[in-house]
Formats: sequence, C-alpha cells, structure tokens
Amino acid sequence: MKPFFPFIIAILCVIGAAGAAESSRTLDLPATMIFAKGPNEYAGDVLEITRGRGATIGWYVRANEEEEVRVSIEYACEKPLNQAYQLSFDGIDRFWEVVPTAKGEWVRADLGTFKIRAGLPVLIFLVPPSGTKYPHPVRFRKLVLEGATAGNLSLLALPEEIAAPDASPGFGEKLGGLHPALDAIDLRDESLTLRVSGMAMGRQDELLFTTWDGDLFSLDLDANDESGPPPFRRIARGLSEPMGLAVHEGRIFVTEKNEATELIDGDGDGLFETYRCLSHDWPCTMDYHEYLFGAVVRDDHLYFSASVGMAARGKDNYQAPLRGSVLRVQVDTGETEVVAGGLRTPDGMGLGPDGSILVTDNQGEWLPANKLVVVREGDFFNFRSIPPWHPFDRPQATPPAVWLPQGEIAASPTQPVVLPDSWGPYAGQVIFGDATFGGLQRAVPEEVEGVMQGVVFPFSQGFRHLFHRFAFTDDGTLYAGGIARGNDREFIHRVSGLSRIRYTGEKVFEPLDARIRSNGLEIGFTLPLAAGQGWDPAAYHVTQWGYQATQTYGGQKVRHRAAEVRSASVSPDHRRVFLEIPGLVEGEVVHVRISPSLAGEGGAQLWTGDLWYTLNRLPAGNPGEVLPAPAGAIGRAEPYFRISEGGAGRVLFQNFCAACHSLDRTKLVGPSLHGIAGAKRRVRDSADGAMKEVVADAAYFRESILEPNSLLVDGYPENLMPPIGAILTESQIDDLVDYLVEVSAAK
Amino acid sequence: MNTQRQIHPAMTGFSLLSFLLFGISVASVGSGERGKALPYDPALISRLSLDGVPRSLAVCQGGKVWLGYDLERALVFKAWVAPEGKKGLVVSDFVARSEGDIRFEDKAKTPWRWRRTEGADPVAIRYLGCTQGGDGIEMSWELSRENLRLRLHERVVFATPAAGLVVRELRVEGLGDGESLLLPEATREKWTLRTEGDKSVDGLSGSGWYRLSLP
Repeated sequence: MKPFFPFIIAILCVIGAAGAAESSRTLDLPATMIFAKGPNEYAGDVLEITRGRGATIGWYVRANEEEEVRVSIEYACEKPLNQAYQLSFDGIDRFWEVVPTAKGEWVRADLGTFKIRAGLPVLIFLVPPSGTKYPHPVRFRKLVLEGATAGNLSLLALPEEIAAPDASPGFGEKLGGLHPALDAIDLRDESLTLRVSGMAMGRQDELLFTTWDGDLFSLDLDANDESGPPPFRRIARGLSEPMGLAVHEGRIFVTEKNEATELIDGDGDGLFETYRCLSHDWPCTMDYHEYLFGAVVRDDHLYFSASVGMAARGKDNYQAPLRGSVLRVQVDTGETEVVAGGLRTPDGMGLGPDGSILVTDNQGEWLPANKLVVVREGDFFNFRSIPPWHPFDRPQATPPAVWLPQGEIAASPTQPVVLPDSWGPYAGQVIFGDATFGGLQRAVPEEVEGVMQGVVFPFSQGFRHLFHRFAFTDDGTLYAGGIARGNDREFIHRVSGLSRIRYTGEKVFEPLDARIRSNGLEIGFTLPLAAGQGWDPAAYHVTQWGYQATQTYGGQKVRHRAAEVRSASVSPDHRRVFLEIPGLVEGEVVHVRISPSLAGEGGAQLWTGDLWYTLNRLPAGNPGEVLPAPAGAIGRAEPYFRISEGGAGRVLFQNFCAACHSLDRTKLVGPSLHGIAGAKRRVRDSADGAMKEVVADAAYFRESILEPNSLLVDGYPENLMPPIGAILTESQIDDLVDYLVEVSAAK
Repeated sequence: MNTQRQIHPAMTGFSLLSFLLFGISVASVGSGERGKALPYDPALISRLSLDGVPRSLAVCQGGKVWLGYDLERALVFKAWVAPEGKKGLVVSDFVARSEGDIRFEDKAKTPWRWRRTEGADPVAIRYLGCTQGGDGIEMSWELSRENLRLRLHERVVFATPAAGLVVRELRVEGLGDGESLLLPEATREKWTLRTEGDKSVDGLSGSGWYRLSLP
C-alpha cells in the first residue's frame, strides 16, 4: 500500500473559522492568507493590487453542509478600473465591477450568493483584470462569506506542493527522441520557408498544403524520389493567412483570415484564378490573432473555428461577437451557422473516430490548460470576454474531453487526426502536434454515459519541425507540416517545413489506452507485462486535480493531491492493469506515472510511463475487478520512485522554457541563456522604455518569469513570452530560478 | 490535378467584354511555375487587410494607382497614387498600408441604395469573391433587401486607362424596369459614371456595363 494519506486529512488540515467568531455564520478570507501575491505588495494586512497577472488570490473553504453563501469584499479603490474582477466560487464565475471609493474610505461590497457543496474543499478565487499594470492599487483586506448555519464554514490551510518523483524522458519529462516504431524524413527545399498552415490530399498521389505566407503548394508524391529537394509546385498565391485546407469531392476549400474561400480553377490549367468567398458572415476586426483555424468537410458543410483577438486583452478584453466559435458553412449556399462557442486559440480541427468534430485549444485566458474537445451542437467551452458576449455563453461550460496540462504534455496543440488501420495497435486513436511543445501526442477519447472524456499519452519527439497540420495517404504514410510562431525568420527556418512519417510496425512497450471504471482506472498496454509485473500499487504514482480558469493567463490546478492506489490487478493476458483508486472525483484529471522499472514480455522497457485521464463522468456501474496478487508480486525492497532535491527545476525548465530558450548557443524564439548568469544584459525597461544594463542574477530571472515584458532583452518584442509565473507556484518559481542560475552560469 | 472543380455561378462573367476601352500598357504580372503566370501577383493585387479595413482588397492600375476596396460595403474606400519609385503598398505582418497621394477617400460610409418610384433604400451586401483574368480582376457581391436579390459585378483592368486617373467597370443583374442602383454618396460626388454609350448617369440600371472614372 502506498503511504499516501487521504487528501483532506494529510494536506488540507482544517484551521478553523479563522478570523471569525466561534460558531459564527460568517467566515473571513484574509488577504494575508492567499496563495501568492505575485508582484503586488502588502501594506500590513492589506494587499495592494497593481498588477493583474501573477497574483494568485485564492482560498480553500470547506462546508459541513451544503448551503447558500453570500460573498462580500472589503476594499478601497480611489479610481475606476477599465475591467472587472472575476470572482470564481467553486468554478462558477461572476464579474465584479469595482466601484471607486472616496479617499481613505473602506467599503464592503456584495459580490453575490453562491451554493457551497459539502465535503470537498472548495476553491474561492479572485482574479484581477488582465491588464499588466495599474497605476493605482485596489486595496483589499478580505472576502467575507456569510452562510445560514453557524459553524458550517471553515477556512483550510493552503496545500503544500506535492513532491514529484524524479523525472526522465517519458516519465515526468518530455520524451527525448523519435518513437521506435516511427520512421521520419525531412522533406526540405532549403530555398523555401514553408510555414505549413493547411494540408490535405488532393488525390491519391498529390499532397496539397497552404503556407501562412499565403501560397498553395502541390507535391506530386510519385515524383518525389528523394534524390533532391521535393518537387514543390506553387499553384496559388495571394491567400490571406490561410490556416485550414480541405478537399471535398475535388473542390478545394481554404479558411483565410477573414473568410472561408473556395479556390476554383475554371479553365483547368492547374492554377486558381477564382477565389470564391463561401462565407464571411461573422464580425471581425484588425486584430492580428483573429484567425480561422482548421477546415473539415462533413455532410456538405465546411467546419472551422474562429479564434479570439489578443491585442485588446490587456486593455478592455473586448472581443468581436462570435469570436471563439466553431462555425459551419454549407459549401454550395454559403449558409453559415454557429455550432459552438467559448474557444480561444482552437488551432487544430479534425474528424474524430466516429466522424465527430475534434478541436484542440491553447492554454491562456479562461483556459487553465490546453484541451482536446469533442464538439457538439450548442457547446460552450468557457472563454469569455466582458461582458459575456457569445450567444452560447453560460456559467457551466462544457468540459473538454481531454485536458492537456500545460508544459507537461502540450503547450500549443495543433490538428488532431485519427490514425489509420495500418498503424497497428494505435489505429483509431488520435494524434496531434504542438507548435511549441513539439512532437506528437496520442489521445484516446471514450464516451461514458453520454459524456466525452479520455486519456492522453506522450507519443514521439525527435522531429525537426513543430507540427501544425497533417494528411495521410491511402497507404497510411503521414505527411506532417510544421509552423512557427512569431516573425523571427531564423526561428521559422528551424521549425517550419514538411516531414514524411511512416509507422514501421516495430513492437514498442507502452501504455496503449485507459478506461474509467467506477472504482478506478484500467490501463491497457501494447505488449503483455512480464510475468509477476504490474501487481504492486507502489509502482504507480497517481495524482489528481481540477482546474480553475481565470481571465488572466492560464489557471491553477485545484485540489492537487496524491491519490491512493489501493490495489493493482493484472488481467489474465497481462495486457491490462486495473488500478483501484478510491476518491475519484468528476471534473478532475488523474495523472498516472508508471514506474520505468515495470517490464514487458521479454524484458521490454517502457517507452513512456505517463498518462493523463480526464474524468468528467464516473460511471455508476462497471467496476474494475480486483484480483489477488500472486505471491511475491508486491513489496519489493527498492522504491519504484525516487524523490530527490533539485530535480524539480530541471523538469520545469524542460517543460516550460526549453522550447524557446536554449542552454547552449542555439538560437530559438527567445534569447539563449548560455552563460548569462552573473553577466550583464542589455534590456529595455518597460517602465520608461529606456535601455539599460542589468545583471542576470536570481532577481532578474524571477522578474522575467513573473513579468516577461518588464525587462525585455534587446531585439525581442513584448508579449512574445507567456507569463508563466501566473501558473507556477511560489515554490516552483524558486526551483526554476535556482536551476536557471545554476545552468546558465558561464562555464 | 482534378479538373472537375466547380465554378460558382457568380464567377462566370469575367471575360464577357473586352477591355478595348483601355490602353494596353499592362503592368507586369508575376511569373508563375511552368511558365504560366500565377494569378494574384502581389504587385497587382493584395488580399490582405488594408488601412484598418479587415475585409479589403487592393488593386493596382497602370502600375501606380491603387484602389482600396471595402469588400463588406462593395465600394472603393480609398484611391491613391504611389510615390515615385515606390510600390505604394506597404505590407508588414500580413497587413497592408497605403502609401502615396490620396486622390479619393470615402469617409461618409453611406450605402448603396435600391431606387424605384417609391424612394431609395439601402441594401445589405454580401461579398461573393473575385476572379483574376489575364488583364484584370473582377469582384462580385450580392445586394439584398427583403425579396430583392441583385448581383453587382465590378472589374478593374491592370492597364493604364486611356483617359482619367483610374477607371472601373460595373454592372448589376436583377433590377426590374424603372429600378436603379444608386452609388454610395462619396463615390457619386467624386467619380463619373457613364453608360456604354458614354452617357453620364447617377445610378446603374439594366444589365449593361458602366464605366466609373476618377478625373
């Protein structure tokens, strides 16, 4: 049995109704007991909030009985703000328009009434506007909860960070290379920068792809003999930032920046002279980030999604109506319908195994993690502007089928595609790329009592390009196109381009799928486990958490805790292991790290041991079978996992920083960190725009994490780096800073 | 390449009339692969957002005059002459900006109007797309109001016009007897609209081509 104690006892000990009278109906949530102040400052017991991003103003509360709770806030603010605060109560969002107060005056403002559920710790979260800096503070002392029953509410101590086992590639850390069953070659013409933005098969031997720069290329696969640069042929140009391409019954559809377009070759000369506007029946602005992503044709309708704008997010959070929608256009009439809403940067769209529409979305405002969603009519996926603007907006958003935790398994997920029959045990599963994290990830959605959910695994790294779009030939060969963010041409050259990937059929030992049971999780493997392997629950490190969305960047893991694995049962064919996990909670992610020491048949080593299962619905029946373990299968002397000091910073760097910052002199999208610790850096101070020199010490690294725009290295634009400080805990930031100081020191 | 790609009905009328009214000093066109010019040469046409108008298109005539179309309003919102030795269109980060001497600008934002005996009412507009032929580009829109459905076509040749600074051609389909389509106010004020018979008029009627020129 693993030595993890039940969550509520070990991690969140009740500290009583702090600050409240004994057996009171009210409970104070003081500013001094929040998760992290970020770059803001305390003045006694008052938090002076001048910067929206980075502060983590939250508390865990528990109720003995479910009841209605009124929430109010004690504050002072002498000048109006241009945006509202977000108050999230156990995931239910309200907006608080901060009414200015008279000088020196403190006010108690009513924030509304919520229902608190009994038992589980409930997160109450106050999120300042996303503007990066305000010249005048909102001075805040406490929230006050008022229920109906004396002594019902209690404030819980903040949870401590869970110690993570030491990581290695594929086991808590990004994979380090190409999947053993894949063969990949780079299709490259050094004279071309191909930022692949859409891809489809034109006919059996013709690959079509668009580029961000507005071209449509054709590649005759029969003529590509690999003796030289691929025979790319440009057959259209002048497209406006196309981000999706579909071929349907010989017709070619492209989703451009502001319209869905059909390309027509009227005279049959192989070039396209007519750009028929299929539809532009949705508002748009000049915002650079208002793309139309993806292109999928189903039932004579072209599906795509409209991403939200970014330029105004720090100003007034304005969004043009219908941004964030999945849209559907009839390919002949152009009739346009809104299918779903609440998406942010839904870069990837594809058809699922059952013909469903799959969409990936990128972490950021209102998305605490990346996600894979299965789109159904009327869904709302939680991205909001102020005031709520989308016709489908509602307090209870549709959960994603699969959460893709930021930095752990994804950062900018792209097009999902279903693997064909020729891909062995993986056939029918979904893979998707990532424009930052890189590689290919593998997901297996399942429907449980009408609700979509599922699991994601690392699949492969080791490619030259950051894959954005995919197309399969009839024989199962995968063509994958890479793209780069930003305008740095060197960066673009490094990662954009085209690869050909083939499944070789080599047998690889790894988790294949995972299915939820009412009492745990059943994991399937590609190969049988070795005799006697898999029975020891200590070989599985399991954690679970929920997510808190915020109007600023990213969001928190909620109730992040270790889960008890009560037993592990191996199926008679040794291909499945049922983990009995009491305390599974709907709406949470279950992360399983399988010990790398678990061996497969013939001594096969695991390729990866990580999986993340999103639990939206716990089935009422269908329990997993708990089997008695064979003698000697449990309780080995050597621990399955080692937890050592200092490893956390390295993993954080790998997962959050390494995609953009090298530790050698390699130029990536962000400045190299090679040898900078202790050295002088020339930076632009955002406070006055002046260039100045600073020493790259721990304080500099910390400032750069918390406020990426505050000290910009010469030549790098604002907002290129996401504010990851908003999604890391204080101790994680400490670990990361310590690691950065150590590894970036001049050798 | 599949040659069965369909042609939308809106896009079939491009080469109905020759461009004999114009000179033949055709501006350069892009050289495409296989020796054939690839349509949408950026020297002649830009489909990027222009000057803060998200759904826009810019066309160059005579190698120096640019027309900036607001596709959602079916009109030219700006016409300008490129500075000497410059293209006249600056493209950066997938956005285009006009550069040069502005000769026309529509700031009034008045609509096209459907005129009949009872009066003149604004129409809703839907952009249908564009086709580049060898000599120029044609754009189409659907104009509607209640049960009315009109099809507006406009084309611009790349060559320098024989007379005037810049010349466009327009025609409308679907008007009934006694009905006409009134140009937006700013266009009506600054441009000259003439029939094929060179008669000056203030609106489109019938289904013939009209010439709209800026002195």
